[in-house]
Amino acid sequence: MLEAIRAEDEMVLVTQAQHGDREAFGMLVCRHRAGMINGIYRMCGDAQLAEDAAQVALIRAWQRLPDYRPGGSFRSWLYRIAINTALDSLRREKQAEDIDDLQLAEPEVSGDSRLEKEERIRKIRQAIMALPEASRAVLILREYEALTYQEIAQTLDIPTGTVMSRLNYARKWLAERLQFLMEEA
Amino acid sequence: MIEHMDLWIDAYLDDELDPRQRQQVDAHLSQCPVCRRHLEQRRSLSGLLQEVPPASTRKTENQFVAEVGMRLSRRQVSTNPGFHLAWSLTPVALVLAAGFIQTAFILYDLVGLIPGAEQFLVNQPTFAPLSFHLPGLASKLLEFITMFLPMEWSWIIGLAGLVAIGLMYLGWLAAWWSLAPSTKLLPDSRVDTEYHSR
Repeated sequence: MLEAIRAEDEMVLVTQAQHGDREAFGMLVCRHRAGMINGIYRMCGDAQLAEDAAQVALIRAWQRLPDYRPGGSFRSWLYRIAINTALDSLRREKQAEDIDDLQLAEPEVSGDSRLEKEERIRKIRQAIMALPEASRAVLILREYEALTYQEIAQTLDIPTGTVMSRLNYARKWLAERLQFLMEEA
Repeated sequence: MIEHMDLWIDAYLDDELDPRQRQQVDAHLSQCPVCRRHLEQRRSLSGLLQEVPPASTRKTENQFVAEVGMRLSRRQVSTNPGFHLAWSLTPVALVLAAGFIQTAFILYDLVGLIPGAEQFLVNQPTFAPLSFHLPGLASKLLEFITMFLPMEWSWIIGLAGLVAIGLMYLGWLAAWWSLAPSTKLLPDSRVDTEYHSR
């Protein structure tokens, strides 16, 4: 019920923004900012790059907003722009070439376990970053942004069956490489 | 030999199956240790992936929103295409009206230079004999000029017309500036409310 109200409210904001209402667009930015930054961050592994790319993606979204057709999920539409921007940034910055240099957010732990935790997170991040871009995008949208298969399909403009196979591939691939961490846990 | 449901295990985990499919997977899981192990492995993996923290951002939400706002291009608020067209053409129409009045007065002065023409205009305000020989637009223009008779008042009426058009033009400019969107995305109060409610 709350989801339906939120979606309806969002469509009102989108319509207003399509007519040039910057305040309505500002509200949409507030709603999706964190999700976009985190999605891009998980795609490219650099928090600063993610923040900048999210801003670029939002500016692109504003420019393309008149082309958005209500009916599809606005979040999917926005995330599609964000993912494409992330991939553009990634290719430009060539971050993928040196995944050891990823800037990781520091987990809030203290003492000796901190280093262990950091190392563990670094390994997970490395494994995610080593995935092919197509599978990585599907995995991130599902695991971190909790998008449905249909929303992922809309976001990446691929059939739902492809979403399932890419997700299956990504999980299987990660499970093999992170088996030792899962056993530790 | 049991056929494993590898693809369906992911959909099962993500709650993407319809009730009938879910029942099928449940039935399969009850008799397939390999798929049960896969399901457990997927669950562990999901838990492991959640250990990666979100991005620690440098900018506050307000800073982020303000920066986006400053980089947005202007897009005029539109209502409907007809209104938008009329609104855009208003200054053009006002300039044309001012030009028409000026032209009418220049012509009126030129006509006034002809000896006896002034008296002729007073006596024949409709210009029927003259307009008969003139093309349509010129005839209408002369008829318009006669509206300003008597002649001693005509310049005041013309001036008032120009002033009125000038005021309308300034009014349109003021409305255009006031309706133009600002560069801010959110008023401060709304940003604060949104920010603190998170």
